[in-house]
Amino acid sequence: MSAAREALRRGLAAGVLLLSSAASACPMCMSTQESNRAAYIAGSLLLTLLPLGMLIGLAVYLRRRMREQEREDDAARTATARATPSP
Amino acid sequence: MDAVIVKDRSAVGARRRPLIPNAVLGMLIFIVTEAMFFAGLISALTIVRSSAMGGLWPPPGQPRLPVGQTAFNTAALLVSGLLLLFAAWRFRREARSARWPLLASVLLGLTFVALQGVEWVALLKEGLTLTSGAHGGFFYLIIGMHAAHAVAALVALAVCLARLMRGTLEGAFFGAAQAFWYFVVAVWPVLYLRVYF
Repeated sequence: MSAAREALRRGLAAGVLLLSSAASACPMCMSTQESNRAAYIAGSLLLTLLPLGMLIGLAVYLRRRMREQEREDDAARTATARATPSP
Repeated sequence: MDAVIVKDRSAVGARRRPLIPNAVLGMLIFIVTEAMFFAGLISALTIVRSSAMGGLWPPPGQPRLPVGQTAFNTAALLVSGLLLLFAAWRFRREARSARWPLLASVLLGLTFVALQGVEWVALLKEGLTLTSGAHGGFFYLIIGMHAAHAVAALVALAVCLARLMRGTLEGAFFGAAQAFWYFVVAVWPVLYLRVYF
């Protein structure tokens, strides 16, 4: 990378840091009301636990399907072995 | 290429077959993202409602939502979901026998969307618009997004019905469309209880 490009990168990074101001991500969450705080906590819990629950559910479902397939394969192998006459 | 595969233990080589069809897996991943989208909207609504002046929601002067009429729409949507379950059961046994329950499911879904549209027209006449305040904004955003999902899922089910009539419907495509409609049906009671009450 050329020195000019590196200087430009550093200048841009410094500009972003120096010229930006603080931003409130969610002004609604700043209230001191008890009901508001409870709603904020409930929302945080929902948004934290829901994706975990869904991913765990998907993983459990796929694992169950895998076991079902293994059982089907075992049953098919057993049936084939019984149908094949022994020499 | 199969996204989720399992090695057959009986095979000497590496014979592989999918655990679930790729179409269904893709739809499930899409549904996970959509569930998070609706969870975000519900979370935002909950926080805004909790900070309403005097704990009153809808705010004074804003139209009340038609809880009773929407309960009927909700029943139509839930029955539509049950009919689709029945259609899937029939499809696994004898594909063509799934035509009537699938058609009934689509028609009930269309009824839900149409009645929601009638409800929206009445609310607009009462002055509830997207820009009339947080109440209107959240209502049209959340319920509107659900309606958009319902229409998309109904289009998928209508394609399933057309293919079923022609005898070309594949189980994977039908499975993906079913998953989408079950999501639309399952998320609705949550939205109904959270937005209308």
